[in-house]
Amino acid sequence: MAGRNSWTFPGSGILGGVALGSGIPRPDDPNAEYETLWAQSLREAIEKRPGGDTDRLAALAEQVRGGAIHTGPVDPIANSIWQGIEYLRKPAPPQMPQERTIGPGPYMAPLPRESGGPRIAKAIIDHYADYFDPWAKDELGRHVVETPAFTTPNAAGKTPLAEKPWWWPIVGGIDIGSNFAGPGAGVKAATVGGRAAFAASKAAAAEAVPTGKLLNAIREGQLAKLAGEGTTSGGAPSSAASAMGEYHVLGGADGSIFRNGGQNPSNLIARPKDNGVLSFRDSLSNPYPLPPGQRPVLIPGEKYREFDSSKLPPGSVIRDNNPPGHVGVRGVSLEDLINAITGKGTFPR
Amino acid sequence: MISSTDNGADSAAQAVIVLFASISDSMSDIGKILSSKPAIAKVMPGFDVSRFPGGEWAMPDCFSFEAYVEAETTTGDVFWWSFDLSLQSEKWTLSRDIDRQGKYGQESISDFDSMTYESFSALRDGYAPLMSEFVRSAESFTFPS
Repeated sequence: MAGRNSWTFPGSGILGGVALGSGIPRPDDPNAEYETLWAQSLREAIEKRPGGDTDRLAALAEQVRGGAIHTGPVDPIANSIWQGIEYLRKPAPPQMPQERTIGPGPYMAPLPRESGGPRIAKAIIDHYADYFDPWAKDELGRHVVETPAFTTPNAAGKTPLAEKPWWWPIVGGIDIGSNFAGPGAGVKAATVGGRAAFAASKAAAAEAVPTGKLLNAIREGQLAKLAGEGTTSGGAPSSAASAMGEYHVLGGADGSIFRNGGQNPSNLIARPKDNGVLSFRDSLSNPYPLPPGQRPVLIPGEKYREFDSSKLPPGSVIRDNNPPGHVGVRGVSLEDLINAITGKGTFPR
Repeated sequence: MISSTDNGADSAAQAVIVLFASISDSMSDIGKILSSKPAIAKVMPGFDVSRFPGGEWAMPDCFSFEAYVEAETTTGDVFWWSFDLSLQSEKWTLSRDIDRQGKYGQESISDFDSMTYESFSALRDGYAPLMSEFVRSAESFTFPS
């Protein structure tokens, strides 16, 4: 143990085991016997440094020991000096234990890699790569920005150029899209919705259903509200949809589109009143809450088919998002539609 | 000539094709019933046999046999009777539907429950009454005029 007038740096660092004495070591100081040569040299170098705290401390201690400074309560000045010496003698506060050995562990916020955030971020970055690529080509080798699907206004009078991708709210409050002539949404809208970049985000969506619910609520609510879109082609006012979130199960971030029912021909042919447009949902989801009088788009407990929109002919897929989540398909043969089916299932009740 | 040494597999395969033929017969009966109704202008039967890979979700592949009879009314509306058998994860699911066209695909106008069977033999044993009920639904169905 170190003596009363000395202390030892704890640990095994560069000063570990070095004893700093408050004065010249006495013959009976046990620390002197245990100092290594290296520690002794270091101690001497520190103690001999002129003007240092250690030097002043040593000098004061010697004066006290020599009776030059009275330590009794009678002399307030000397007493204050003595208290100062005692303060300087106090050892460093003990280190916090590095490991808990008893009781429950403290709550630790999950690391970013432990949550779905990076996966979603990756999907954003992957999509962003598309977004910055104005020369992306479709399956026919045409520049996407030159295809009719990219330049033709939708029912809301917008071109894909004016649309924003689904993840836009994640980016934050700054509308960075206003700074770019971005073909990203157009790329997705034209032909390549099922690209690998979005396949990666599908698993992330599955892991983060609450996140997907929130994002889609924002996407379908706030963005539509901000865009001030008019009434929908189906007659339901989009203002009603704008106030809603969405019951989100899966999807919404890749090229999959969904439609009720099986694959019998009459289920894959547009009704006469739909003007040749076959309606799909861009995710396995429903608006929530439903507007009065409207039944769910994808009916709980009923079967559905999943289609890979990238397998459909270029220009046939119109992601007009009008009403929110709507994808239109037109001009596609029954055979092509059936060949684009990638899955079946039953929408959860 | 192909010979088999696995009589058990042979009998199971035979049982499956016999079941499919039985379903086809019953759906044909539904088509005849619908054709006899004055509100029906055209009847179109058909079926699909499909395999849906589990894909990136790492789900087991799903095998589907779906038979249907579509009926177009004189007013241009289309209804269909659909009988669907699915095999996934060694479980058989039987579902029946009466549907009509909707904006986002079919809209069911029936309330048949789906049935799940743990084995093919259980499906075969439970199939007959369900199909009979389905055929009767075509007899009793009233098309909107």
